[in-house]
Amino acid sequence: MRHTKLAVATAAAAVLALTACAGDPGDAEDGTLNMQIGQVVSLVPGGSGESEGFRIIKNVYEGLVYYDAETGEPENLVAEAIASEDNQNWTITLKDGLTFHNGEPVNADAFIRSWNRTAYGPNALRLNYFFSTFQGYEELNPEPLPEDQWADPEVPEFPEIETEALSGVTAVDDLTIRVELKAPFAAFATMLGYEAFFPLAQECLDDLDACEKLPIGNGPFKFEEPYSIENGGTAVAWDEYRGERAPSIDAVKWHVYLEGNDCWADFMTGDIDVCRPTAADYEQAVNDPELAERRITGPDPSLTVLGYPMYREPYDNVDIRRALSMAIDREGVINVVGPDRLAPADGWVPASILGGGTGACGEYCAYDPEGARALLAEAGGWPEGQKLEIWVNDASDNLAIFRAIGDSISESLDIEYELVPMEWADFLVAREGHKVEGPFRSGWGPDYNLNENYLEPVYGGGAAANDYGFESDEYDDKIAEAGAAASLDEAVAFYAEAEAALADEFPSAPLFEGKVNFFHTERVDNVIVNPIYAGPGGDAELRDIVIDK
Amino acid sequence: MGRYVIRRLLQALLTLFITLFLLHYLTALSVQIRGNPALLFFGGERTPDPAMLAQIERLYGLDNTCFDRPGDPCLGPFVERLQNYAAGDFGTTLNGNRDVGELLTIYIPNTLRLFIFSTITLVTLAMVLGTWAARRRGGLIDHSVRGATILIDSVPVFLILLAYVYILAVPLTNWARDIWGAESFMGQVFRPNYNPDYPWTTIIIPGIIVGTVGLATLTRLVRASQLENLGSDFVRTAKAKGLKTGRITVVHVVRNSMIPIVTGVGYTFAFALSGAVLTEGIMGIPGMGRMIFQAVQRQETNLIIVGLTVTAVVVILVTLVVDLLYAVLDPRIRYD
Repeated sequence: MRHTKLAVATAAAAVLALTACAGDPGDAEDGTLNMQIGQVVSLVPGGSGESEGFRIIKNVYEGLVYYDAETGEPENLVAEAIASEDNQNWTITLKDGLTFHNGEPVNADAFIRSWNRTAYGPNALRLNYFFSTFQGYEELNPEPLPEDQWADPEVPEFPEIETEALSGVTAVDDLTIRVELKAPFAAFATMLGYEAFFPLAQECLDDLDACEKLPIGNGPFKFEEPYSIENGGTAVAWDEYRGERAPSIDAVKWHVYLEGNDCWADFMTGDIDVCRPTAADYEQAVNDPELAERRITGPDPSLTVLGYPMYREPYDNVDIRRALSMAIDREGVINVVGPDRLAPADGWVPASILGGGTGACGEYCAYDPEGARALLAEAGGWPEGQKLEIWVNDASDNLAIFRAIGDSISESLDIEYELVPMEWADFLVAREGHKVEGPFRSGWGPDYNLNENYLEPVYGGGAAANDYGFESDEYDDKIAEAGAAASLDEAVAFYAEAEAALADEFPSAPLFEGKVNFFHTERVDNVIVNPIYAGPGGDAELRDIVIDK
Repeated sequence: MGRYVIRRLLQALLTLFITLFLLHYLTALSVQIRGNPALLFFGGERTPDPAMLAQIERLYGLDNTCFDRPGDPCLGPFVERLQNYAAGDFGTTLNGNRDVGELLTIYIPNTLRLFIFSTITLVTLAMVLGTWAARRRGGLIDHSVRGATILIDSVPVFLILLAYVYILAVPLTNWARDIWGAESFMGQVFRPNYNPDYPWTTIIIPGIIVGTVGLATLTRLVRASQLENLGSDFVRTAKAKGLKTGRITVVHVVRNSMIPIVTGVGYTFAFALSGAVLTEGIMGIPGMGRMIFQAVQRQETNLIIVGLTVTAVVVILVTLVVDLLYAVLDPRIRYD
């Protein structure tokens, strides 16, 4: 018996010892917003290129324009004016008197040094491709030398790069930047609110490692302690902010949820202020009367499509591609994952995007099993004995969704199908290398608010470069015409025509658009979600949100 | 003893070298068969410019053409890698360009904290329950202890974790905060997710849950070895000498029963890493288990090799310590 007592005493002592560790500081301070965030790639403009990094960057830094959350239109922020007569040579004037957190001026040089860093090939930054439309991009990103000139036959070599600056960008004076593009691009200003075009302080460029952890921005929020990718960090409102979009909250604390984790349980205990329920918690969240009035819904312009390997039989036949699309009961599939989480798509550009919602897919995106069977028969029928393989990356509920799609096709057309689930890395390689042997999942979220962003980066570049093996002269012509258009409106209309040209070739079947479904705690108000840049796990515009004290 | 330790350390070095080579060979094979991980750098949705892709490959040492020949052991890159490691450079990750050495300083302490709590839980429970069952051999308590531990052990740890996170954690936290406040120890300890502001408090519950893995085995080990010693000659002699029960138990029974237990704990430590993958994944702890798991999924060659090497080092060291403890615990064991 004495031993039991001894053990109990030891256990009690252990508990006491643990209790002593509990003196850590608290995190539910009054004016501090608690926000969830995923894993950030970089906090220096040009290096992030994903939603989570941009959510911090757009509040710690400030770009030439800011996207209005309601309309998505770019509004001048650091820029005084952005003008061009031919859409190829642009003049950007900056507002006077703005500074970085460290006191450096936000002038023409601040933007140019940032752009040159991102455009310089050997820096290998993720947003490098944003500058491919700029004059001088090729000089900074040369092709490798021919193989016979390599010293070691196994290691590719590159020609010396003689310049570190984009020849198409010059500072006219301290507050004026001139940009020369390779070809006219009427929607140039629409891109400028994205992180690739944000300014960079000289002190940041001099010590990038330090700047990654403790960014030197020019925005309304400022880090006082280094940000940690695994543990998050707090940015406080910068009291010397002189811009036009100041926040009302005192600070924002970002809590990190690594891949596979989500904020819902912490939202339910009040530790996170804005959060999206996962598929498993969705039903309960939506039906909770207490949560109903704290729910934010809206369109989410992320698009999921069923891509076709046009380089492979029988998918080289457009009627087969259309028939498969008509055989999918999109509404039925959405019910499998829970209504309200997705909306059926009827085009390649969602309605919430400038120039989107044209319904270019038309009858081929409507569920019509009989029409699908007729079209398939017209195309010569499904190849005897061949199984329809649907290639999917195995993440979240992809498998459930694509199984429902397969079932729907199988039922409508009476062909056998098989899912080919893959790891993300393998899936990427197969898609890029044109090794996919059947229709495959593909998704896209926008970088900026323009229908062009759903077309060129995904379907452009020629048959060898894109995942689909798609190439069309008519499409290329329309893209070129849009670039040369006189105004943004005209350009948008031409891009819509390019989308119609894409519909003629049908390289992919549009499936779903997303829907935003966020909930917020009682203590916050004026929760505005920018559909284009919101983080997937829950987000709000930090410059608008209010904390009721 | 000294010579024994040196011999063991030399063996350990050889094992490490073989481990490193095997890991290198397997990851090289993975790149050769699965294809180019440099694509991940671009996030995957966009088709990168070939010139940019070539730059990335060069940056990460994936440009060597041996990666295009399946089965090629890629000895050149291996030697380069060893040189870099020897110079203290563990390379960077493809996704996010993070310094691997720096990542280890974040991940290792979290996993260690998890292991501290799980080991304390496991050893305390197994010792208490095992001793109790040994004392009441054949009785109701003995049977109940054995039954209960088997029951706990046979429920998969992820099920316990999921049940905790999805059913218990939220109401428990809200209840505790109503009474003690959000900033108190009690207001934090039940939280469903790890929180870096409370690195010790919020890791206690996951630690306790991991500590139930292998509970039945260790409890039975404790029980069996104590039973064996209780009936041994030296305990009878000690009793005959008139020693006090307390002294007999501590010096003769418990100490001599420790050998199988120390072995068991050593092995559990190595196995706990697999438990850590699940626990760290479900409770959002940035630790070694989930790091290695995700590195394998994402083809993060550097992370896989460095991460698994660290665990290999730990396993080798723990085994060595266990072997040395034998000599301390059992006077009959001498190594020279």
